Amino acid sequence: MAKIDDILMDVRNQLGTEFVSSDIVGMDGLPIASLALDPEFDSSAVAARLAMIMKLSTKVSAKLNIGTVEDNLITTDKVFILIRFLGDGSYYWQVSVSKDATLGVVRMLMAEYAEPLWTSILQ
Amino acid sequence: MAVKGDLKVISLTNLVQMNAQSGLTGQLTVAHAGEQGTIVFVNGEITHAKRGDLSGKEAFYQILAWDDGEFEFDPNIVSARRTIQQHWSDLLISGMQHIDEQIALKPESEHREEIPPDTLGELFGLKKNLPSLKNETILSEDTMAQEIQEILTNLGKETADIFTAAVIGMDGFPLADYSKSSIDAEVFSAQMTLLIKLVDTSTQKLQSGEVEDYLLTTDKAYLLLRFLGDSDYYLGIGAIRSASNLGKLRLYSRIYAKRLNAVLPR
Repeated sequence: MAKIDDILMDVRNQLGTEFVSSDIVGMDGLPIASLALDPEFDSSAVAARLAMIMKLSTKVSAKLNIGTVEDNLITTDKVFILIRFLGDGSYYWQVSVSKDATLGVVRMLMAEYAEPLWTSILQ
Repeated sequence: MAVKGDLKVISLTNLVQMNAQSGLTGQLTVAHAGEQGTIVFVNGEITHAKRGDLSGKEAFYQILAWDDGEFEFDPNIVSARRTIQQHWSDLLISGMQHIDEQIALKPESEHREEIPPDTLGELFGLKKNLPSLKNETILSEDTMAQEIQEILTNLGKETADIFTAAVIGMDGFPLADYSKSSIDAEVFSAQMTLLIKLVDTSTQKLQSGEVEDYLLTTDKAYLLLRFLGDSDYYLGIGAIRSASNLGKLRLYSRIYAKRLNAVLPR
């Protein structure tokens, strides 16, 4: 898992002060890697909640016949939460950033690092 | 070569949007009631505005409120000064909100007389007789439904990539919808409501703040949901992914949410 942690740290460094948290989570809702600015951040709660959203969004997309889910973006008055599937969809990756972050850059970084993360999970 | 014109022929909001979307560089000078204001564009971004001693966003907002006068756009004048950092679309929306706020502060009698050129409507081709954002006119249920339907139809016609748009209650029923696809409005509404409720509950439990919008991206489509007013309703938009510009879609959702908020019951 060291490689995954390194990638998350790399993403955090690239996002700078806008970074809030990041987790790699199995579709069972259990995180395999987490990184957060706040040491008291409860990654297990985030992991489980967001897994539910990813599962429901997959069901809804199938019901509406609008294709395969790639990612979800939640905008709140405090943060942007981006969630995307990795590899075969058995894991997802969430990145939370402050509202000062440039959304396009975060999406670009996630697209860039999704493949290396999936490769690291398989190793 | 400089381009000149009259603000009665083309409004300033349209002009700013055209310059920004075309990625132009140059200075837009506006003359109004003996005053002059300048707005500087660099590759479509608004970098500087000046009116009298005022510069930056405040100057831009004041110039944007001018509904008559003359303008000149000169691509040969470029100022290196940067007093504005915001993206042009955010700045334009803030500017239009600012105009609406100024009008709302006026006494009611003046208000009715001086309903402004319908800035948002003008930009997006809506009918001029729609209520302005701060107009507190109480609408009958039929009128309200008609207005919502009309706004959704305009949104749907905004770009070819939008295949469905609906105002949906948190009970999962559509209040009004516009569709260019075979997706059943009731199924769409029910499914979207399941999602937005889960997203809303999750962010509350995680203390991540109040949800403003939610975007689901698939390999074929974008589904964008944005809460309206006091969150009893939300706007749901479906767009074909291959033909969509995500930035534009989010911008439209913000603009049309404001218009819908003005019509929905409080």
